Amino acid sequence: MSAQGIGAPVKRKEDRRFLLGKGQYTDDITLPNQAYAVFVRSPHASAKIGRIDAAAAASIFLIFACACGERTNTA
Amino acid sequence: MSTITLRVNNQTHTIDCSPRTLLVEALREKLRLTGTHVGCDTSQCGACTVHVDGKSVKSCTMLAVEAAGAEITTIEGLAQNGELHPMQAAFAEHHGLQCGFCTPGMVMSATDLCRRNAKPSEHDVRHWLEGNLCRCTGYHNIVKAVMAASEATHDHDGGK
Repeated sequence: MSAQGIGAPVKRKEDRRFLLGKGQYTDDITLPNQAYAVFVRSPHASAKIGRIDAAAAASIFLIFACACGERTNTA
Repeated sequence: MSTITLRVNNQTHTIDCSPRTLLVEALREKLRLTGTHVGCDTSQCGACTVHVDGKSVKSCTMLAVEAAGAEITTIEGLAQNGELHPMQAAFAEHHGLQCGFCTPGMVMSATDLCRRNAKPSEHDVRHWLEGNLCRCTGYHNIVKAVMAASEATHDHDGGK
């Protein structure tokens, strides 16, 4: 019986590395100097955000971007 | 910080970690053994399953400091000299994986079953693997793979 052609099984190529624990899923990857995204959530169930002050965080961490919800002029 | 010594896959490692570091975190982050996965935060999914002193354990539900002095085997430690363990070979042969994320946990869990029970029934396998969740396969081929591995191992050397 031929191992090729119509009706023959087509073996997957990726199984070996998955079975050996070498699959590079997103959290398995570490890049040099990689940054981490952190979500700061409101401790209040229902409240109005008056302002956001990132100064304390900035004194400890190098902040690449802080999305504080300010309105921009772009659409 | 605590300094602990672990034997992982027949290698001795001494690491510093906080007492609240989970074993899975120590394995993945300190030892860079990323084959053991975190799939939930609730001890349900089993993707973190490793062997600690010969028994399958969910490494997310154990502190690293609890494992000090223990012999740990992760998925990376199953294959010997580049040759797949019979359980790994059976999963490949029987299409027991698709995305592969649950697979290390399935394989580690199933090898412990076959160590304890040389001839598990299908019911035994399904019951044993209740602690391992899979979103892709629907489990049937995983069960077939485990059954095939247990038969193959049993034929070869009388059960291991």
